[in-house]
Amino acid sequence: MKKSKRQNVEEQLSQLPSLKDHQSRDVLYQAVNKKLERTEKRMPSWLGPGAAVCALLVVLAVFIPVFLSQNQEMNTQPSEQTRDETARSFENPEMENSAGPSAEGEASDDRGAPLTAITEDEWFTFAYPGRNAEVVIPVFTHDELPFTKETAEEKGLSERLLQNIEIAVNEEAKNAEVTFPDEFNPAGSAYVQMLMESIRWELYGEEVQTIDLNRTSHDEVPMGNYGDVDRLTPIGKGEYIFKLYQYNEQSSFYLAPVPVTGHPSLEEALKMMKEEGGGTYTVPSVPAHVEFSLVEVEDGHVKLDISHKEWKGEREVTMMLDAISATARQFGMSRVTFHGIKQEEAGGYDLTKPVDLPGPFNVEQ
Amino acid sequence: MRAFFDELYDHYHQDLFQFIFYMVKDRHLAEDLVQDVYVKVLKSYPAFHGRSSEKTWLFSIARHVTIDYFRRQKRKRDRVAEFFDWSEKGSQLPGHDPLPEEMVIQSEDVKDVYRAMNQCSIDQRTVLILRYIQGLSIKETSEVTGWTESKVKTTQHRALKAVKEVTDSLEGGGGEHEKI
Repeated sequence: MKKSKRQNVEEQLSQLPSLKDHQSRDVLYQAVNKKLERTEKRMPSWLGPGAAVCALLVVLAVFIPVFLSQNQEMNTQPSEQTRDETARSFENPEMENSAGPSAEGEASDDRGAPLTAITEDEWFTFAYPGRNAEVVIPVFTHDELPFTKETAEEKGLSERLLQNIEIAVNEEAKNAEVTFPDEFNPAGSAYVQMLMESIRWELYGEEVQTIDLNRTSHDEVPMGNYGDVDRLTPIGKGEYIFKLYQYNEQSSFYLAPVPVTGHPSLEEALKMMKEEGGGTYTVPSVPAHVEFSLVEVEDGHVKLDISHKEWKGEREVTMMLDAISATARQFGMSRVTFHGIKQEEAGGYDLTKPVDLPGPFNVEQ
Repeated sequence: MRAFFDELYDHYHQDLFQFIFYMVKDRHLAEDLVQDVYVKVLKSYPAFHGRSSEKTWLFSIARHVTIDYFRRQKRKRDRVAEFFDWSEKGSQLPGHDPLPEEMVIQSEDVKDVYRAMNQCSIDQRTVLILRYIQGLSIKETSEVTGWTESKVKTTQHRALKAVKEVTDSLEGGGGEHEKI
């Protein structure tokens, strides 16, 4: 039997008949007018709750600053346990750092990417390969493209690879469609590897279940040694641990996702974070003197008993906490309790209580 | 306001109705939804600053009205899903979708294409209707949908492929052709 060709389908579509609306102009106008009147009379359903929320915000705006200033005057300890946890999330991180203990008197922290507890706003993720094309560094920002090629190099990163590639996310279908130009034809397996990792990381947090690749008029994309590829697997739970990436002493530290083999438990993953490996400019994020004597996981809450020797400085602690938080989050956790660290506060983490794990890391403001 | 309505009606009404009809495939529903389009147009015309052509602006509103309708339907279906087995709903199958009475289509292939559009996603169906039934260009379609031209081309490519697969299976599988 003769099969229909694409051109035939196009012709047949254009042969579908024209259809006319039988409503008369006047009947239609009256119906539209009735609907218009109804919508103008009806109070929007959000107006009542909206007004209530506005009133509440006004009240809070007046009373919270007064309350906080009174509270600060009363407090003599900066990490007072009665401190309001919600308010902490929105305070200036610099103020938090200056309030906390500084073991070595470090005046400033040149890491470009402190973790942040603000998770409700919209974040964009951009992926930048490391300088040796061994790791991809995801960077979270509220703005478009945090780095140009030049500024990425200053930070010790390479140029973003997804310049001429379009990514469209269908939230309802939980699908991402990545469209390459027709002439796309990459060379080099390292480039292809970084490209595919960049796509997966830029879609991290979008909660997509499928990533379809195509070119403008083809259903697959040539990917060097990988052949023609039409689909990528989104990043799943427990695929990566986080180590530290730094190109040179002048450039910033970043959390670098390093893939793990097999299906390690979170406890095994935490131990892997002490090991070397993962790339030329990548170093362990958990110092060798740190031991995890207990790792207990319950309902997305991981409780860690940590024993350690003397820290090299505040930065060593906070980078470890950042890396553990990002790894725990990658393993599906939502809260972590750090027991055994002999200080109450470090880098904005209140170590006296469970910490809600933030989504973004490597944040560029 | 009447003068503005008359102007829109004269220039675009049948095109808007036809677009909505092919999206929802129900005359009475299309009549109702086209009224909703005018309501939105008449309420939001002051916000239209000529950023796109009047025609593509109207089609984009019609598109949103139909998408809103599909979303409402989905929510309703989700709510009653525990009482009905929707997998038994034969009208969703391409070979059983009845053609509207007034649609006079001589060619069996064209009828198959009409039915096969049911198997396309809403986005794909939108592009097929705008491109092949309304005759809009890629650029105009991108203005209506708010997508890049590249995405319009990709969606069109996938939609044609989806339709072709269904029509091929109907031919190969001896799908029943409806007589009208």
